Amino acid sequence: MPFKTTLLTVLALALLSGCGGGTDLKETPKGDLGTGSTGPSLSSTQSTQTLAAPDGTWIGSLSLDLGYFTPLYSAAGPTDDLYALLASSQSSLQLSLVRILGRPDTACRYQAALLARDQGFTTGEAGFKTNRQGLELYQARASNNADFRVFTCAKIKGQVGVILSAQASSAADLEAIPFYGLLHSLKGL
Amino acid sequence: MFQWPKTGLTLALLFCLTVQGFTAQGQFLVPERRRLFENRQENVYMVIPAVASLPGLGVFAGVLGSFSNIMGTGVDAAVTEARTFSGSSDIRVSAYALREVPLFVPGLTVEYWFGDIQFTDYFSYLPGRDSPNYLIPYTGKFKYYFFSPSYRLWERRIEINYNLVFFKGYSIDSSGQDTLQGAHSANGRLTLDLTDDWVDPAKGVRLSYSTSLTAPHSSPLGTDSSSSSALRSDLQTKSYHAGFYLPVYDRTTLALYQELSETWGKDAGNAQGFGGEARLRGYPAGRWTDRFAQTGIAEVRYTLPYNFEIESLLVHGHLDGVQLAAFAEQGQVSPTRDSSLWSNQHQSFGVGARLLIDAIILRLDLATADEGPQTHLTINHAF
Repeated sequence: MPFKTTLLTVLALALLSGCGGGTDLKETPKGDLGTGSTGPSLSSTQSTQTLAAPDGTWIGSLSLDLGYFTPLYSAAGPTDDLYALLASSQSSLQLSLVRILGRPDTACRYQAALLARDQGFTTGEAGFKTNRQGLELYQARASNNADFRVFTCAKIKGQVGVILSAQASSAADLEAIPFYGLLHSLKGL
Repeated sequence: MFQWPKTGLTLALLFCLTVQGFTAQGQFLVPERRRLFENRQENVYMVIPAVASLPGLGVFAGVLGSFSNIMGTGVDAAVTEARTFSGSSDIRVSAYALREVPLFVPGLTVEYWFGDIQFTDYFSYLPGRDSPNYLIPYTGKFKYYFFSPSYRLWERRIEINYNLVFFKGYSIDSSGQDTLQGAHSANGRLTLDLTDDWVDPAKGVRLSYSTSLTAPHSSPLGTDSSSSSALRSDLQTKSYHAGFYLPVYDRTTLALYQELSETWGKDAGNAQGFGGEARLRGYPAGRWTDRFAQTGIAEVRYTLPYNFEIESLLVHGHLDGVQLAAFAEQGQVSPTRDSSLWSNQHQSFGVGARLLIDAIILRLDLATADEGPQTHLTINHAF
């Protein structure tokens, strides 16, 4: 093959190839968070959970529907990465609220990948959603038989954010209106 | 203690030595060099412009350049520059390398790389043999510094390197968070190159061993950040590389390569980027990583000889040949050192074309595996 032809072929392939990309993310388009479809309507018994950075400064808050959620644990202080543990009194839904650093899509996809690798979960839809406070949340879903998980992450202030890990024995419980109410109440100060 | 795999590698070594013994006519273990490094042509260079479009990122243009024996000083250089010019992303890639910079002692040289990289996103995979095909994005922004004094003797058949790296950028820590960190790492490498050419070997054996070394917390390259534990660990990694090059037919070489890495030390949890990698061209970089990793490659290289000078704006040098290649490779990773490292191996297959321009090889490989095709455009052979 003449050299010029060979060189042009190589260059053409290089231009067309893009030099190797990874697998595309299979994500849902950005959009509104939604409102949920199961469970009771929001009750009037709301409790505010504040969120602190590791240095103790308040960075955000969210509201808990005490008619639906029972607090099992609250952070002992600002250095405690675990903000709260919650369980629903009316469904199988359980929540943990933990401080994270960095991008919300990194932490949430990482947790879903861990479940897939170590416990045989199937990863589901993932994508950015915006709540009523205008805060951008990232959600990643995973399931394994009767174990349904949804991870919701948000960057609240600076590099500090939160991951809400929800677990339920039915997919419907993850669509509970009080759960969506909690997600919509999440905001930075 | 490390144990070579009992079957494949041993057989390949015996086969290689036997064939070498019959064909090299007295050069049983050490084939004569086809050329000497010191006799490289002056001012050979290759500049490769490229335009690529990545979904979601837009179109970016770049240039990949490699320069050899600049002004007869023996110094090599490489440069990569890329910028976006459409789309919403801001991609910037600047990477420079100076190699073979001679010092005062014959055989002693130093190499320095600097990279300043920014992408919209980088992507990673979980380590582990059961790592799902599920990308984890993180902030694609880092600076990379590499400093390596090297000592070579006996026609570059023996090479000793000390490699110091300072990385400052974003990475995924052991709890899955995207954090900015800076940390040093260091390793030492010993290479025994008993082949007929250091760039494009056609016969012989090349063996190398590398081990991680204790790195400084501060150097002229930079200073570690206080939260560098995810990048800087107490783990020790050793790797072993063996390449066998067999002239099986006129202009045709069968290259067999086996690589094994092992990581010892305290548990690093699920930290990204530790341990070794099964480096298969049919998968994205970093797809398979864990404490223990091995890769085996069989590659047939057929060289069409050319013999003329190229004098152009983009390429300057003597074209020695155009090489066509076909390869099959397999590899696996494992959290433990046992037979699982050699079972249920991932496989990839591909073809490649290479331009041999004096001491520079421009290599384009197309490979496929069970997760789709991959393309690699690189300078010089991987082994």
